[in-house]
Amino acid sequence: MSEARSAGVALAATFTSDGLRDALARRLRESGREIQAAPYGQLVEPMLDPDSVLLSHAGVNLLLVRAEDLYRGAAHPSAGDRLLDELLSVLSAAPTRSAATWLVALTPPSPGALADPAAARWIETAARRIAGAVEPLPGMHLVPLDDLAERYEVPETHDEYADRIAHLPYSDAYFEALADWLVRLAATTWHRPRKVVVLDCDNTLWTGVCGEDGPLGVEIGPGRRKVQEFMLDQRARGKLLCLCSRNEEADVRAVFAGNPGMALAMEDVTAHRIGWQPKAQYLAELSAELGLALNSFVFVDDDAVECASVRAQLPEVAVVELTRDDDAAARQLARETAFDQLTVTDEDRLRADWYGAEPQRRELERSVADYEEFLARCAIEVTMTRLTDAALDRAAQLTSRTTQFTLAGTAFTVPELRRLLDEGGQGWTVRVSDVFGDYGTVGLVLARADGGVLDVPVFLLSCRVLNRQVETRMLRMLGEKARAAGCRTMRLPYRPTRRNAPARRFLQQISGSAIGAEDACGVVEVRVADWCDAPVTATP
Amino acid sequence: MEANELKAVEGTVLEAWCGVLGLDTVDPDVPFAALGGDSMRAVRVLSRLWRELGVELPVHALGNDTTAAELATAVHARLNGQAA
Repeated sequence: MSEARSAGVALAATFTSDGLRDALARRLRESGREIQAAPYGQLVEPMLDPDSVLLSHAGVNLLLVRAEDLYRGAAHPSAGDRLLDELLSVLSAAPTRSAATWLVALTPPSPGALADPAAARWIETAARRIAGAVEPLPGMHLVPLDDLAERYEVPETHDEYADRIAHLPYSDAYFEALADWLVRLAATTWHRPRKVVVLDCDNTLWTGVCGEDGPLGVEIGPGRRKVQEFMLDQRARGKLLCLCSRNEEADVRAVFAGNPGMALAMEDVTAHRIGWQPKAQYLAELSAELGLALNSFVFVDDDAVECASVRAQLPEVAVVELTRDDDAAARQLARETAFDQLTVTDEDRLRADWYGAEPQRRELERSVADYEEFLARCAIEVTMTRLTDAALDRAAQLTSRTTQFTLAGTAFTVPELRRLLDEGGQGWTVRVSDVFGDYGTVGLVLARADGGVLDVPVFLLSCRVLNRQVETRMLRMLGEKARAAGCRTMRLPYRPTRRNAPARRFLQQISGSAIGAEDACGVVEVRVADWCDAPVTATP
Repeated sequence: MEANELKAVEGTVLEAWCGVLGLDTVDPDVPFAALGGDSMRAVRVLSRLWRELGVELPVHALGNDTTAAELATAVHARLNGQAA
């Protein structure tokens, strides 16, 4: 757990991200890292709540924003203005509240939204404002996704119908591409980027053998040209380019000087070893000459035997066996993680170290205050309505579908609910609304008074309204009902699952003891008096 | 006639299940979850049926216990203007 806390990944998105989370988890498992996701659709709350998955670790936070989700369900995009303002304000404060590295991505707007001029305009403005807010922030990086689908050859980015019925806007193929790219970016915060690229010449930079074909006889088609341009781009990003070739030096120089297809020039090359000694030996010499360790080297060669020999002798060198297929070579390089360096700087990697505990705690206190203010601005209204026949369908549905905030997790059918009510039980549906909209019936409580004890077999809340202290208010309202029924104790049975972390956190908050996903079922008992007379806002 | 239509719909449903679940064949009488289906995959199946047949089914039309034959019946009913 503590390891996951120090270098894991946390995800928050404005849309259903289960598929993306699973795709990320598969990739992170290889490096022994874990991913945690904020509740569905929430960005602002987990950036304020000090206990949230985003603020309680020092790894990498992924924030995915599809701008149109900020006004989802509203008649006009301007309904999203308010949430956008809240988002911009928490974004600006986030780096001071967390030692994590933040990657913020604006995910593609739906074709439907782009086709509507008013929506398209709003989205463009929102994207610009978010980008403008993120760019200057230390430790926070904007991840451009413009050419992601193209780079990963994703056949279809959007899933229009899944978006409509499940708020799942992208195809599995797009999620896979997104997961791959985000994990690569995240990994650059764990590993130092490599600094030196050592290039073979024949059949790597050009097609043919310069010692036999001559400087004009070797061929530099569009594919090899792209390979050279890729290397020039690497150089522009600060990498040192070196040559390592089995040739006479004069023959190689002649190609650089005389072949008009060359994009690379000899001046771009920092150091070289051209001759007949083993390449592993040359790499070691280059390392000594440049004063850079071999674990910062990438070796690019088309020859399988050379590659195998370097791998065997110098395992710390990243070896890229470049395809001779002209069309595929540049694509292979673009997918090669050894070149990844991306947006993250050394300073980011050090942030976790230089973060003192003291200033951070002060910021977290500030965060708590901001969170309370945010919740106050939300003007959240919670109403509990006596469960009647008309609501049994929705109630049964909530018991079968809610998996995150449910204490006991028992599913009830409509007849079972009716029997419970007939046999002296009581139920309430919970409705929540705030300034951003009406969330509808999102919670359910079932209870039965037995002597002085109010037994509560069902206490659940849809993930849409988590992190807004609705659950605390529900328990308070239930406390009033318990008192009215003459009960002194509320008895809350629970069943831990991997998915109900939000419910377990709530139980910890009210009982003071932590409950793990693997723990046995149990019961938390609370005094009715503690939940009736206490002030309305929860005090930690 | 009616039976033929239903058969055709079932064919499309089975194809969608195979595609989404990554299976070569699907027994029409085995529940979705038993074949490795979950709620995310259910949404993908429904999305495919919407693209291929233009039929709009809600998320709960395909639950863990739903079989392909049952889903085909629901799709067929919806295509013929009855509530599924």
